Parts: sequence; C-alpha cells; structure tokens
Amino acid sequence: MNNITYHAPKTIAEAVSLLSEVQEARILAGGTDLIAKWKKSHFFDMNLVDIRNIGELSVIEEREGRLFIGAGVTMDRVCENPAINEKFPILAEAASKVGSVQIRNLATIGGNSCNAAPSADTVLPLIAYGADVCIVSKSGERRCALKDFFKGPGKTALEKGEMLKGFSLPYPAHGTVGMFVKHSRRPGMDLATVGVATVVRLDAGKIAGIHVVLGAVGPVPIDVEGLDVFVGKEMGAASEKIAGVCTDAAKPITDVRGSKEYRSEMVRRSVALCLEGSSK
Amino acid sequence: MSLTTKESEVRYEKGDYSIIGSRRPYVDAIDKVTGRTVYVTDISLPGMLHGRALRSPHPHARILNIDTSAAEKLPGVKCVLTGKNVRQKKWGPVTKDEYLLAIDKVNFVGDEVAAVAAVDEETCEEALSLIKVEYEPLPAVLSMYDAMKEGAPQIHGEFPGNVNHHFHIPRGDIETVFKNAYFVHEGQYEASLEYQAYIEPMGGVSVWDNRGNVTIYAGIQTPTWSRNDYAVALDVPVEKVRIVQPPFGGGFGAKLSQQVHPLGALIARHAKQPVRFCLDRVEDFQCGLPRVPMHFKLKTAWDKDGKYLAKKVDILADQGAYASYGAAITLTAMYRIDIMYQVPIVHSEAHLVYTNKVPTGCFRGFGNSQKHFAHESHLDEVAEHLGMEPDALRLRNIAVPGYMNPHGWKANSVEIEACIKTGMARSDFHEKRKKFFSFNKTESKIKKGIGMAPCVHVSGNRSFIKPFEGGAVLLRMNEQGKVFVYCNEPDMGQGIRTTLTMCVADALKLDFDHITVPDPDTDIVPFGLGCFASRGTYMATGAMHMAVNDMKTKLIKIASQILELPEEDLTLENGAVVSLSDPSKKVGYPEIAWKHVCDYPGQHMLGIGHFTPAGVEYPDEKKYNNISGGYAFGCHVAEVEVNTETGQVKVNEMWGIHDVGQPINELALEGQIQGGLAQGYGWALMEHLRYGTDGKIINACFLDYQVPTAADIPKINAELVDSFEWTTGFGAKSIGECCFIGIAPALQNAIYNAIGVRFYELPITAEKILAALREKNGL
Repeated sequence: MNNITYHAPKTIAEAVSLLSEVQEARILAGGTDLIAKWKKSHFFDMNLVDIRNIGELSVIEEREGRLFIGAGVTMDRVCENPAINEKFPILAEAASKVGSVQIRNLATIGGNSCNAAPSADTVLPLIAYGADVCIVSKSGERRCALKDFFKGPGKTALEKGEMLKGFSLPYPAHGTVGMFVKHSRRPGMDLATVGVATVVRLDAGKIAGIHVVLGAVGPVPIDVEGLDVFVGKEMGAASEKIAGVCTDAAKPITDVRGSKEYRSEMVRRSVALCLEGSSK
Repeated sequence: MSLTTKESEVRYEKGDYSIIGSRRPYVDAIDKVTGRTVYVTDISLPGMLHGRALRSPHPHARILNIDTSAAEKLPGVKCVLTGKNVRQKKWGPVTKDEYLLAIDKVNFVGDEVAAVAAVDEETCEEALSLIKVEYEPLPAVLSMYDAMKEGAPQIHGEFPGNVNHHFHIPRGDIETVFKNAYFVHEGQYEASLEYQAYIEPMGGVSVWDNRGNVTIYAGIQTPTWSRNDYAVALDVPVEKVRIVQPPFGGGFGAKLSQQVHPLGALIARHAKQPVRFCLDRVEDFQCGLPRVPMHFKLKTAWDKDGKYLAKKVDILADQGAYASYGAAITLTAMYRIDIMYQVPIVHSEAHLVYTNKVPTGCFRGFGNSQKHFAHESHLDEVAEHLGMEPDALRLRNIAVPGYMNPHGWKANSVEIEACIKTGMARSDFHEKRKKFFSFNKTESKIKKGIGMAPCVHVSGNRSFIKPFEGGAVLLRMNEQGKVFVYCNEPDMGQGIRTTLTMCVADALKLDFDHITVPDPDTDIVPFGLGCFASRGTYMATGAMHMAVNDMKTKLIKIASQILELPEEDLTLENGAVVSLSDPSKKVGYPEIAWKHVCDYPGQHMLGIGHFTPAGVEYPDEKKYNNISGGYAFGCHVAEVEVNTETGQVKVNEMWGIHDVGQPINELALEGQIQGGLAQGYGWALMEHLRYGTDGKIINACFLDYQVPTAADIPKINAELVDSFEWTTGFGAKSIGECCFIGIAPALQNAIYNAIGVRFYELPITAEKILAALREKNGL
C-alpha cells in the first residue's frame, strides 16, 4: 500500500521546518522527475512536501544587482521571461529543450538542479553564467557556487532540512556571448547525449573571458578548468585547442544513448561549434 | 463445388460513388479525442480483481522450486498460480510450444513463472515480491547466429538445433543463370528487433460464468480466430470462449493471439471473480511480440540492360523463445516481393530459429518489410553497377496486370508504374540527384541525398485456414430504419469502422447518424479471420458490396408494395425509396423498416454479404497457388541531409504514392500513409530493442527506446494513383502494411546517395554514420 503524507506549506519557513521534522521528506516542485522515480522505485513511502504554494519560490527579479530566479520557476516561464532572454539567452534556450511542452509546463529550474542528473540541460548555462545557489534551512540561508553543488549522479550539497531557494546570477559584462548545444538522438524530445554551454567575452577578436560547461559526459556537470591560459589569445587560432582541452576534460561513459568515443567526439565538435558561433 | 471463384467470372465495375472516395473523419474520432471511449484498460466489472505475473529474471533457467506460501497469506490476495498447480496445455498459433505458466524451465527474461489475483495492483506487486523461486541458470542463446551452432544450448527438446522451421522453395535452374549472367550481385542485410509501440499495452478483462463459459474483453485484432488458440491454452472447448473486442489502443500486428488473454482467463477461473490483466509498459517491451529480426543473403542475376534474371535469398530469422507466427512471417519474407518484379527464377531458403529472447511476431509488413529493406537496398546497388537510374531498373522489371509469378500468384490491378513515375515527378527526383551531386562536391559538412523504393503487399493472404478465405458482413435494419453493421474485420484504430459506414452510406443513401458498427463480439458477428495481412478493406468491402445490394433489393421490394409502384421505377435517395418517374412519391426507411417488422413479426431486415476473392487458392505443399486477390503497390521517396561532423540525418521530406484500387476514405488513407512512413522512418533511423549480454533488454522504456515524435517527423506527401481492383465490389485494396514497407530502404538509399556509404543493418544511427564516414575517409 502507498504510504504518502501530503504537506502543502505556504511559506519557506513552514517548508524548512517540515523538512527538518519529518522522515523521508521529498520536495514536490514540478514532480516530473520525482513521480517518475517514485514509480520506478516501487512506490516508496514518503512525506511529500508540495512547495508550489510558496510564492517566493516562483519569482524572477533583480536583487542586489543580480538576477534572482526562484527554484520553483517552471521551464516555460524561464523560456518566456524577458530579462532571462535578454541577459541570459542560453538559459532560456536550454530550458526550451527540456522534455516536452507538457513537461516544461510543470518542471522547475530548481528541480532540474536538485535532481542532479548529469544530463540536466539548464544546469550548464547556469554554471557558465556563474550562478550561485541560495540554500535555506531552519538555521538560515547559505550560498555556494552552483558548480560546487553537484556531488554525483542524483547527489547534491543539500543537507537534511535544507532546500534550494533559487539561483543568483551576475549580469554578464557587455560583449559576452553565450552559446548552447544539446546533442541528442531525437530532436523532438530526449535527454542530452552531450550538452555544451559556453560563455565567451571577446575584445577585438581576442578572448577576454571564457567559460565552458559540459553535460552528460561525467558523473556531474563539468566546468572546464584551465581555460584562463587562452585569455588574450585570438579566438580563431585558439578554438581548436580549447575544444581539445574540453574533450580531455570530459569523462564520458558508454550507455544506451551513445558510446564514450562518440560522446567524446561530439564534445569536441559541439565546443568548436559554440566557439565559432561566439565569434560571429 | 469449388470454394474458389474462377477469376474470369468476376469483373466488378466502378460505380457512381457519392461518399466513397471522399475525405471523412473517423466516426469514432470525437469520442476518442474527448476521452469518452472506453478502452480495454478502462474496463471495470463488479467484483473485478487485478492480475499480475511473476516473470523470469533469467534468459534460460530450470525452475527448481517455487514457494508461494507467503504470497498466499497476504491480505487481499485471492489466488496464486504456478505452472505446477494449474492444469494447462502448450499452445501457440502455429507451433504449440508455450505454457501460460512455465513448468520446469524458463526461456526468456519475462517468461511467466507465477501469477496472482488480488484486490488491486499494488497488492499483486507485493504478493509477487513474496514468491520465492529457485532457479538453476542455464547457458542461453542470445544471438540468432549462435542458435544453430554445434553445442548451442537447446531451448525446446522437440526442436533440435533450435530450428523451428526450415523452408526451401526452389523455382527453376538458378545455378545456370548465375553462371551465364552478365552481372551477378551479392549482399547481406540485417533487419533489427523493432517494438510496435502502440499506445495501449496488451491486456484484457476475463469473466467466467457458472456454466464454464469465459468472456474476454480483449485488445485483439483477431477475436474469432484467436478463440481457437485460447481454448487450447485454457484446455476448454472453443465454444466456451467468447471474445468481445472493445476499442483498443492499436496493435500494428502484435495483437493477434497473445499470452496475456488466456493467462488472464486462467487467473480469473481460479479466482472465481472477474480479473483485469493488463501489462505495464516495461512488461510490454519485455514480452510483447516485436518484429522478427532477420538476416538476408541475397544473390541476384541480371543482363546488361537491367533485366532481372534470377534471385536467390537465404534467410536466418529469430523468433525468440516461442514461435508465435514466425513461420508464416519468414515465408512472407522469402517470396512476397516476387509479385512486384517479373523474375522468372527464384530460390528461397530460410531457417527460423529459437533464441532466449522475447518471442517475436507480427508487425506491419509481416516479414515483407524486412525483405524490402534488404532487396530494395540491393537493387540500388545493382542499378549503380549497371549504370542505371534506380527507378529505371525497377521500371524495367515491374509486374503488369495479369502477371503470373513463379509461385502461381496472379496480380490483377497493378499500378506500380504510375506509383513510381508519380513519386519521381512529385519529389523532383532526377533533378535533385543532379543538384545534390554538385552540391556534395562542395566543402559543405552537410551532404544531401534522395532515395526511393517501390513496395508491394497483399490484401489478405490465403495461407492460414485451408477451407476458408474471404469475409462476411451482416447488415441489420432495426424498426426505426437504423442500420447496424456486423463484421469480423475489426477496427484497431485503422478506421475500418468508418470505411464500412461510408460504404453503407454510399450504397443505401443513408446519413452517418443512422449507421452503427458495434464492437465485435464473437457471440454475434459472422465468422472472420480478423485484422491482419491487410485484409480489412479488401475483404470487408467485398462482402459489404453484396450485403448492401441484398438490403437494397429488400428495401425496394417493400417500398414497391407501399407506393404501389413497380420495382424498376424505384431508387434510393436520401434515406428513402423514391420513384424515378415521379420524385414526389417516396417512402422513408423508417416506414419500410416498420412494415418489415410488422409483416414478419419482430424480424429486422437483414442484408447478408459474403466475399470470396476470385482466383485465390490455398498454397499446395510446394507453396504454389495465388494467395491474394488484391496486391497493393506503392513507391516511397525520401530526401535527407546528413551532417558529416555528427552523423545526424535530417529527413527533409518524404513521399508515399500508392495504388489502393478505389480509395474509400481518402482522409484515412492519407493518415495511414503518413503514419506508415513515420513508423518506417523510426525503424530505419532510431528504433532498436537492444539486449545486454545478460539477456535483458537494456532500453525497455520510451526514454531509451525512441520512436519519432511529431516534432521529428518531416513533411509527408501522400498521393493515390488512379486504380480499381475489379475482383472486389467497391474496387478497393488495402493500405495498412504497404504504406510502411518502402520507406526504410528509401531512406537507406537516400543516405547512400548523400554520403556514398551503405548500411547493411538497421537502424542507421548517427553514431554508425559517423563511424562509417571516418572509416571511409581513413580516419
């Protein structure tokens, strides 16, 4: 028999107090991952904490000179929001490639991170734009860089009693160009075989800043390190080398979506494609 | 009296149709899209329990012991069955090789070991988890290529070497032709395991009465015919088995005789309450009846002008753990295509083998799709060798009306030439080939290609029951003048209900609201084989033609009495019988129907029709004799772009041009053609049910077993060429399978045209393409 207790807190305070008190708490935001997992794992018992009534989790607004996106904002709102489209266009693009229309109407940007799937689409641009996560618990609020949030497939830095409140993104400097590639078997609806987000700033053809994040090619999203050496270099000359560094950073495995060799090749090609797009 | 109507006796003429040939939405469409239709999965009966099966986790293992005691004690559990505690016989539609519940040995991952009935599905699940089965794993055969090897594990003792059937059909002296021919070509091709992916998994609801009669509400294409199989499985006389076929979510061939129905009935018999037994999607992937994988060795001989001299094919077919329809499917793969080309000498041989994988069965094309992939790829290779255009090679060899092939099959209406020529013209095939040839020489990482393949299928295949072929329709007009259509060519979403409605409306001049086609119930409908082998339209409308004429005669006779006018002066118009000489004199059907009910107290007026396809005979022991009266033809064309950096294929546009005789419902035909091409596109480029080395399917879900979504499917152009099949009343041939068959080889040929690399196994994925391109370029 299913043993589920349903809770519908109206405030963050109520929610975090529930999370610290009850056993087997599961947060229901969009439910698109949770319910699938619940069905697949033989209907485990849970204290279901539905956070959809908490208004503060669904805001998109400017705070402290940065953009705050609540964890409960659905993917369709991410796709359509003018501020996101203007300042963080590849976040909107990545959100538009999550699941299907029906999924995007329910799934949330916070859930996409908290589910911690290596293939999560919106995580890549968020990291590339340098997003921080705001984590709340009964004892207060803490922040960390999103890139440090992921601890393994399905594992995050969230401790018991904590929940994700939202993302805080610094506005990119003028001249910054983001590019996103989701390589999948089927354009219609699929998980990424390889995902790539790049955020590049050029100054007279020379690289002034570069950030590359890879998805589905390791246990957690990979924020490629060691790209600072290319700052000051001509993009045209450096792009092949950067793609090489990224390919070396990827740790793909073979699964039903693709072999590690193919994935590796798609990382190289997708990064090159992004960099080429950034210089246009 | 011979059961076969001589072909010379039959020559139907095209009528002056008003409804037939128009575009009509399905009569049941609105109920379906608004959620009113009650599907099999929705059925709930008073006191109904739920059934679930415990399935083998091993591909091949001996059952040492089963302990059900804990499950039996669980509250809510009504009964727990195992192979040891129920009476059962082996059953199967062709070979009787399968138990409902395994007794000593399991033969694939998913094989049923035990079954429970309980108050709800969750209790069933819990009960299953309490059943302890002790297995002794055995070595398994996981590849058809290993099945016949010396020392291979033996799956069924009665079939040494794991060979269920070996067929050899030689026609003519082929070796001499090969020795003397201008050009001989050989190739090998492999068609993969494809899942039907219908929207509703297999299932049924069974209920027994106190006289030992069982009613199964079943998602089934063959209600009347499958009763025989189910009676064997349940070890009861066939008259005890009644099947009601409610609307169900598609079948594409998988839903002929299925394990799920007799097993559900078996559980219900022991539970002594109605039982709903429906598979979940994972089970349906695991133990549905997906397409029979096949390997082809093809060898063909040609003269220098492209005349097709001889064809030799050697097939290895994988039927999985149990035979289902494997034998008939393999036979079809061997020679069905021989009615499309005039090839005087044809040899075919096949081995159908058991493996420890999912039993494979019928799927749109029935072996003929697999063969078309191999053969139409092969013919493109031949055309290139001979320096001919692909369509020119085909046109040089296609069948013509009246063509009798080496198997004794005779084609009546044949418009394959029009199909090919229209396909070439609509797709601008030759111009594009030229344009793409120049384009592909540029540095672009995108390469473009266009490819074609013609196709053929039957409209009914006489090879299942020796004394029977044909179809029947019974029309009943009730006392209000409403017509009910009873027929055993059932609707499974393909729209035959609308087809039959249109025929009645056209012939009896009656509006759709006064015509109903009830769900088939084997206690009520005439005998018939059901929905497979693209039988429906050809057989049912053939019978319908006779039935409407019968009813028309009766309507006019009674109207003549009411109106006191001679019968010759009367005609049907707008739901009434009307005088030709004075149209003001008329009588509506309700009045006629009421008079019939009064004159013959209580009797409804009947229109009786039966149809025997002319010139069709059961094959002799050498598989000789014409098996179908209506061969349907088509030509498929696909235009693609291949990204040489990723291997991804973008299909820009597809064309399906078909000869279906007289079209009945052009809207439904367009839908069938689009659906067929879309499904074939999935088979060609995406779909593959894959097994791991542990004998388990690794992609038994729609996330990992991908079918094309609406967002992936390109523009599909459907067109029908002018045709009339004179052996059946309304001149209609069937579309169901033919519209699937040509597109996979057309896509293969288009990809070859783009990148100059040919793929000999399906599906042609991006990863395979990229690897092949790198090999070609020596990387």
